[in-house]
Amino acid sequence: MTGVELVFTAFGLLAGAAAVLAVTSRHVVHAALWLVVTLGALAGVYLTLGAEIVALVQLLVYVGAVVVLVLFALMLTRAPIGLRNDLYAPRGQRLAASVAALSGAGLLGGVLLVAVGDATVDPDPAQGRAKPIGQALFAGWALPFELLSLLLLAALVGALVISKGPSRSRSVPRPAAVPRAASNGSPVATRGRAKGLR
Amino acid sequence: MIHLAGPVVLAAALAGAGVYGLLARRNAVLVLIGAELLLNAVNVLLVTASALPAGGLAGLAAGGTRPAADPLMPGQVLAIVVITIAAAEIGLALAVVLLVYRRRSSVDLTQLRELGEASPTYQENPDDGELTARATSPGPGSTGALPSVVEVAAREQEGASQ
Repeated sequence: MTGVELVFTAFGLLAGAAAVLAVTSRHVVHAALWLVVTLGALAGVYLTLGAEIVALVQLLVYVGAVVVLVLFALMLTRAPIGLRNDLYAPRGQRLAASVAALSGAGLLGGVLLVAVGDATVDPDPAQGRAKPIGQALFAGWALPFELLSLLLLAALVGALVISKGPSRSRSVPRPAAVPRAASNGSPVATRGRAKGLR
Repeated sequence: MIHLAGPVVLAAALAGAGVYGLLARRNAVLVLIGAELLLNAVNVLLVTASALPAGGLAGLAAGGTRPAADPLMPGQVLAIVVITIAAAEIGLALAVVLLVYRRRSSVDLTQLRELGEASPTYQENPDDGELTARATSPGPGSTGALPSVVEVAAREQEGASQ
């Protein structure tokens, strides 16, 4: 096992373990912080795979921006602090989720393991530097790059529109309490009737 | 030299964790964490593919180990594209989550059963008729529970005699 592979294995184990903790932690904030560990370790994985710029973008965008957004969202939705047992769906759904996760991971890993076999790669760090990536991005990938900026603009405008909410004039006012005259008719006051009043 | 089994197993583990987080969590923000993990599994595979020799897996079988000298760098550029899309996605998704929280005071996905604007008869917990009863029977004797058949009949008689 070479030195690079050792570093890769360390970062990979850290990322995998932190990912599992991020989706199983019973503290809401801890889950977000384990996500930080996962994404940071993945940046290390990219570095060992010879993708320097991708690792830096990962650190900047994911650890710097996405996680901050997630933590802000947790704060703004008054996420409970401390140990919570109501973060999970009912037991049946949890069981189905773990079956789906295990079978999905097994399928993906199994197929890819068979496909790659016993092969090794020798990443070239010179390929992942800023210059080759920049040349590829702004020459060959110019159109997708522009489309990405359009997507970001659309996401920005969309987030603004969504968080502003529907305008007051178009929102239907909530009807006041039903007057008593409306509740005549057969004296069947089951819950179904109460629901079907409107 | 990196054995390719490592990145592949890592991507599979990340994808599994992401699927579990998407399906098993109730808090909408924690569901988004699962989505992020799924996107990162894709990224690991893309970056790994950028280190493959010319011809990809077939080139590996032919014995090459040096990465392909493709000037377009598709693996790493696509990884950056995925990261950008993930940033756009999470910004939009968190706006939706915050709107849901403002409207319903909850981001518990098991309680969000109606799409769109909450209808007047909407209630978070269908087993609890309290909300509906208060809205539909604001009579003086209403205790908050659903009125019994006798109560309603008496109230209607009272209304008829007036």
